[in-house]
Amino acid sequence: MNLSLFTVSAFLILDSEGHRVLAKYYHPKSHPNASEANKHLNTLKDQRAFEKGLWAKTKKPGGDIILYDSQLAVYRHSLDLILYIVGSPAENEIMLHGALTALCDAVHLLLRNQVEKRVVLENLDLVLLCLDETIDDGIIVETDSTTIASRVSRPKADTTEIVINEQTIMSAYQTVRDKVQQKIQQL
Amino acid sequence: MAYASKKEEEGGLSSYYNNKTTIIQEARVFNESPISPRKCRALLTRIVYLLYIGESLSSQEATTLFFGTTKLFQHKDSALRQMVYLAIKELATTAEDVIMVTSSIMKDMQPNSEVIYRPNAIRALCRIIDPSMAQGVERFFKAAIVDRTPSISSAALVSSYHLYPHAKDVVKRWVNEAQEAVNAKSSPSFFGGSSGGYLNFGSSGASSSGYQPIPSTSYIAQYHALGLLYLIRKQDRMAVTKMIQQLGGGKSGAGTTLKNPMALCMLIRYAAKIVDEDPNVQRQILDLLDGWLRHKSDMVNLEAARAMCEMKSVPSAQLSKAISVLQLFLSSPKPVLKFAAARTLASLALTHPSSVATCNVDLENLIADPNRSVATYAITTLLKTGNEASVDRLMKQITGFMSEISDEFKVIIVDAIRSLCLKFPTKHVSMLSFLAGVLRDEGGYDFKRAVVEAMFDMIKYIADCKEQALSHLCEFIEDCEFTKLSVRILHLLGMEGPGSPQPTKYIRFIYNRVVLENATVRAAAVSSLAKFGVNAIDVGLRRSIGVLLNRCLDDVDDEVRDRAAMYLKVMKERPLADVYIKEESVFSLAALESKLVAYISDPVAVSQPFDTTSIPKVSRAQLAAESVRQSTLDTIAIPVARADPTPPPPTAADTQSAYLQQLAEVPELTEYGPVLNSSAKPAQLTESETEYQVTCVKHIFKEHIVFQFNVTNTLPDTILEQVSVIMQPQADCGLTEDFIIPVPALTTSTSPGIVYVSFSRDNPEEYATGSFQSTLKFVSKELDPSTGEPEDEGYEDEYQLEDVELAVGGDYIIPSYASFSSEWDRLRTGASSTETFSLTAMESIEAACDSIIEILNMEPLGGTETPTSPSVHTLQLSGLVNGGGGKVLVRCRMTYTKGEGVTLELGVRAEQERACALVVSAVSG
Repeated sequence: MNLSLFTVSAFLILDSEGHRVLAKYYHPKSHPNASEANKHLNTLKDQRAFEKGLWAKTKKPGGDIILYDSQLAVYRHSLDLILYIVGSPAENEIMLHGALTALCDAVHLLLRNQVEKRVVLENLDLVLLCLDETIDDGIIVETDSTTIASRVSRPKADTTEIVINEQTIMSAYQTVRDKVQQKIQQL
Repeated sequence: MAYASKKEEEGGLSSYYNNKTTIIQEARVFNESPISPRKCRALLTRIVYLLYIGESLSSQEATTLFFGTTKLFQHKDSALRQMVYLAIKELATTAEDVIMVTSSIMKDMQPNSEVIYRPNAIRALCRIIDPSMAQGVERFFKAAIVDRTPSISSAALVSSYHLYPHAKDVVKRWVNEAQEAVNAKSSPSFFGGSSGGYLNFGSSGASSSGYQPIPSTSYIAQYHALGLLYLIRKQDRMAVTKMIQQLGGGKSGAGTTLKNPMALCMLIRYAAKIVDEDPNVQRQILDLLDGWLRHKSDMVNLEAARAMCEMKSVPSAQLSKAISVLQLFLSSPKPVLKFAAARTLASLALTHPSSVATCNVDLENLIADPNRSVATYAITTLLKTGNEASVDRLMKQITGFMSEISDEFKVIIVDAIRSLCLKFPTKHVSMLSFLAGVLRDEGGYDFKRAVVEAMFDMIKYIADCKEQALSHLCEFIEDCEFTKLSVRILHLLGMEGPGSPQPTKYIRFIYNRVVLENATVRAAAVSSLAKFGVNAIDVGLRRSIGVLLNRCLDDVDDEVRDRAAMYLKVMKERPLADVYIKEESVFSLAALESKLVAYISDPVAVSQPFDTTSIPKVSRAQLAAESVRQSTLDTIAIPVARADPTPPPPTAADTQSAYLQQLAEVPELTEYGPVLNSSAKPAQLTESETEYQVTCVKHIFKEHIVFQFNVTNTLPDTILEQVSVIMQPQADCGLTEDFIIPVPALTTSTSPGIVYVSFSRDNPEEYATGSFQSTLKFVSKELDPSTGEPEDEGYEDEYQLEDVELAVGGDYIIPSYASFSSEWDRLRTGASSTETFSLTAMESIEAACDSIIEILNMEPLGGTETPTSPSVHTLQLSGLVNGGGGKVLVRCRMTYTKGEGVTLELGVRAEQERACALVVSAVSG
């Protein structure tokens, strides 16, 4: 039973090939049984093997949760990416899933619903800050996605021009379309 | 760097993938004036990202970058500063002298600074601060913990949590503030919906001056505050109990001030821990858990239900409430809920199968669940809870999707079905046809092996299906690509086939192997045929086998030819056949292995042939009992909340080889030569609940006897130094003490320590026996609780142990299987003696049998250990005397008359005279 607040042992984003887009493993120094908890998945080699195996088991969407290599992983597919939160197998599944949902929703808000590899890499600063606002060294800091998103600052452009080109118009169109679709579905 | 170059092809992203040298060079941008916030933030992002994709920085590189980033504290841009804090956090673990930036960070923590990065500053501070400086930041932290803004309060609590192990005394003083944060009643104004947040955040983030945080609706600070409170109070059980009562919100749990579900989960865990330590509060806690089962959050329901399921001795009424909550989860559309419920029920089914059975209908619906983990949990649970009536339905469902799943999953199911067959033998028909069906499917070795082993078990335990199963296996080897499996099946056919009503039908299958297969399988087939040749009742059949074996004499492989030739010879001579084919006993494999290893590693012994007489034998039935596999059903799919399942108890042979290894590590004992015998299990010399626990193992060498004392110190704050055991032989026993190897220091963590006491056997030909008064002697010192160092002053102490017995049975004689009547006849010419004893104290034949077996430690043969008649009985025993004493057989003829007790006529026959005398002395002694 985990009596500490250290709940999350890793956050991963893998792409459609199973390659690492972003991986943060938490090995908190102040963990009560630090030496034991930190042995697992400590080297890059172990981590890569773990990610590879995990990806192979979860590449098909629709599972949401898996126990792999004695780690509990909740995951969510988003276009060409899979986002994972990994925790100890004794952890409350719903708690981990709540953290993942909060993080995913916040990233969706920040990236305007376009959570795909290219957009994530282009807006890494937002994604990294968003992760930091959700999980601090294994402790879940916040589970309200709007609060998380609002706590992430955006860089001020050095020039204030608004770029209007095909891509931005397309994305504006897409956002509007998604919103309208959502509203229609709600009716 | 194929990985990186591939990424670069995607264009426009290459800037994120350049290596760390470039990044370190580009760190010049931090020194430019004026600072460009956009550029710096981009570079900081790349530094952090570099770490997140698996690069590592050397300490010097990290330090350079770290101090580069600190220059950016001059700039006011909040977007930049937030990223600076993230970089500081990530670099602080590898960089040196990070403490230098403390004052810069503290400036940002000031209560009057209304900036977005204030929480970031608070969370970064705990990474760079030196524990000794914690006192200096106390004021800030106390204020921040009770700040009205949840994000600041949370950040301060999380930071304190990280700080606690390093600065316990300081953080402990913040307990009142943490308590206030837990009780935070002022509900933050509800923020209207997420869509509003979505539209707002852009402006709030971009304008640093007018930062308006969107207040959190999650009350998460309660979770952090509760975590910190528990960390501070966890040593004090009373305080934790009080905290649970206060925050639990009365009997129904409705009055709680905790609004955050995660905080409630933690409270449930603390409560479960308390119950684990003190069962007296169970009733009270169960009432609370009962209320939480009806909480509006799934997370809390799950945690409460799981806590109940894992608690010991929960009344079934309460347990059924928890199960019904989980049952609701099973039919939820969310995979996470289904997974959590199925997993909890699967582990509960191990201990309470009948309670879980109420969920069977819901579980059956989950068998075809797209999430395979859920399906596995459902099936394994069902197979544990299922009753006889539901088996057929279940089998049909499983058959339906066997083809859709992977091999490792199939293995789990086959193993589950195997244990189900043994549970419901009457259902063997449908299960056997299922197994036969899957045996024909495609599959790898592990899967086929699982199926074949399942059939082996059915053949062994369910007599009715033997013939059917054997013919399925025969069909299987016709087209089997796995040599190992073919060999095992051929061996089984040889064992089981000759006794069956129609042995001839197997011969065709076996002989086909001789014609078609590789050498290994052909050799196995020849052995199998020979068993038919010897054991078959029909004379004509035996003659035919002779013909078949004659044909094998022309085989291209020498092993096959040799076997055929040998068996042809053996079949002609009845006595040889008895020894080589019908022999019911085999060497104890573990003992054989350890003796062989010792033989090979000893250069002196190699000059002589290996001596098999000192190896105990076991009957086939014993061997089978020993190697009985644990059903996999019980070991898979247990939620790992518990520690690893306890390993199966080590067999006698395993412990022996473990002892050998321990002894080999002691230099003083190496010249004693090989160990002749070690006690099968350690003798307890203390009560199990005393503060010092001692067990004793005796090792007999050719000229020495070594007593191994395993001493356990159970006092956590005491260290025992110079631990030794003083042994005083009671009488003149023919042993002389050589030396004692004491344990220099023993704490709870290093327990058990091993003390060796060595004695020389004055005359190695004699079997010295006797009992020893033993005393544990040590210097006891208290450990300083704060430093963990022992105090200088200690006092000498003694502790009386129970006497150590050196007896005949167990120390000199070990059990060994033999076929009694033939051996008894053979030893007629050897040493023998017969004595008559009158055992007046014995109240029955049965009691006499038990005590004789215990005293002599020999193997009872042919079921003679359970007397059939109350007045007359003959007990047959067989054993080996170690140290080259050879075989010894004992025949005890007993009569019982009321009032006079048992009269025993002890007949001993042995290969050597002294073995004979030893046995007689043991009984008379």
